[in-house]
Amino acid sequence: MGGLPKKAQQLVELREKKNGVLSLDSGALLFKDKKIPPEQVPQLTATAQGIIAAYNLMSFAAVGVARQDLAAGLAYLLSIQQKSDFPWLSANLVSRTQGKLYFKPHTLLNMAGMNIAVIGLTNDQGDNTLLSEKDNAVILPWTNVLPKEITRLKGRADMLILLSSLPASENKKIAEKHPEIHLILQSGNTSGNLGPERINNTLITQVEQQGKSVGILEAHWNAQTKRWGDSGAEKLLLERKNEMDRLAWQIGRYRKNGEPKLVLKDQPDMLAGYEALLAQFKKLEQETSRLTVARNTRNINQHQASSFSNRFEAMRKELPDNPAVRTIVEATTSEVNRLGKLAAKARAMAYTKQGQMAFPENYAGSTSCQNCHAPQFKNWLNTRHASAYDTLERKGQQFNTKCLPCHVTGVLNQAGEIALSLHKDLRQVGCENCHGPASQHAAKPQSARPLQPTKDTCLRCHTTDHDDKFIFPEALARLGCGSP
Amino acid sequence: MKKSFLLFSSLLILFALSIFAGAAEKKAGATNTPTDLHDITIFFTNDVRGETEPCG
Repeated sequence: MGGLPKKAQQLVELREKKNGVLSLDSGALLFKDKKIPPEQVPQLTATAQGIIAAYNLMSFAAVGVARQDLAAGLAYLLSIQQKSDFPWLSANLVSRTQGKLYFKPHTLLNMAGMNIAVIGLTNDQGDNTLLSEKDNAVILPWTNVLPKEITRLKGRADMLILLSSLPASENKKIAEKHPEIHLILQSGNTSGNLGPERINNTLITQVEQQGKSVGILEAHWNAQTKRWGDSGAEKLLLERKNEMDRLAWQIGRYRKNGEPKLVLKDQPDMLAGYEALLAQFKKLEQETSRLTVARNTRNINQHQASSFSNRFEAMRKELPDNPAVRTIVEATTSEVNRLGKLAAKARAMAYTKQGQMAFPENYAGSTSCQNCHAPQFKNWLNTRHASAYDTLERKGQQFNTKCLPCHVTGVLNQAGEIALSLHKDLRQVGCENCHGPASQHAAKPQSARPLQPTKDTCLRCHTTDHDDKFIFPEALARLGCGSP
Repeated sequence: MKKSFLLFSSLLILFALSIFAGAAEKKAGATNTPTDLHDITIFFTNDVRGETEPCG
């Protein structure tokens, strides 16, 4: 979703309210996939440049290099680095032959009266073809570089933050091994926001994918002790006390009619239940007593501990846009559309020369369904599917190859560029997007029956990324095509 | 008599100075603690993945 103008406005408002706001991005900023098809390079790199312009305006302090950021090639990311006012960080992306770093491994910032070091790590696991021979680059395991980097920063930083696109399991291992790292901001696929999890002296947190939210962590940091306070222990103590209250109430019910050992002597099952409750209560009593002693000791040293609060802000529609970033986004989408239009023109000329029609193989177009399925066609005209392409047109994105496949018919499994030169009858999400290609059915209705859509048919476009409120039976009922 | 008066005065001055220095040291210590505490807000994002806006 991105929502860059809203994100920028949130940041502006936060900076108005607070001193010492540090903005960081842990990566996968520029591209969705780890490889992009050559024909989509112009549009996707134009979008990437727009994002960089927006991030420059938002004064980001550092961005981590994730594998997706290398999708247009290492050379492209290095060129983008020149246009970025912030450093791209990767301590483990190095030249294959000399081991030389391509990006800064860390950055040191002075903020809120202290020195903050930010290290970047790129995920080394996955597709080996990500970097070409020409790139002369390799992504090293974190174990090879991180300990050295931490040693290099020793005594120079009051707080150490890691921007990591490594899998969550690896980040946990880092936290277990390196309590010198105080915060890990991770990137990677997640269906929701991940609130800070504390491992040793490291907090690990992550914002949900597609920029649908931003994270805001407010820290009250003791630069001398460099340790997070134990807020989890307070919660645990409270939980144990509540559990004891519940058990005490149950025990009280047993004792209502007198001493249970006497009253229940002829009911061994009931008596056993009572004794089990007593044993549980005693165990909890001991644990609570131990936790209370620990809490009291902690309170004595409380002034030494650091504390934090964290929240995630969803980029909801109603949030205000930042006008300057809005302008950048509008200019970017307009440029992306212009590039698509140029490609569309070139394709249209090729089609005209070859005398071909812009119909993907076996597709007939929705109007050919109309003659035999008039009521269904009429229903379809009133659905949002029938105006899916018009929506893009209104937004000036009708030549955006990233958007088009889900707003037209018959090109879902093909490169986005073919969608640029489709016949008018295949614009919008037509009958054949759900029922499959129907040119044979149109020619001989009885011999080739069209498919009935399943949930998976819809999920090709109504993914959680794009439509997290999608419920298949409701959507099917809303379409109301009914029986043929 | 004059000598012992001088010695007594010197001791008195030294005592006063040591109290003053101690208080100053204590004060300096007290101001040290707040400088070790820092309030910082971290605004963080990830996985924007080339998205600027929803398609429509």
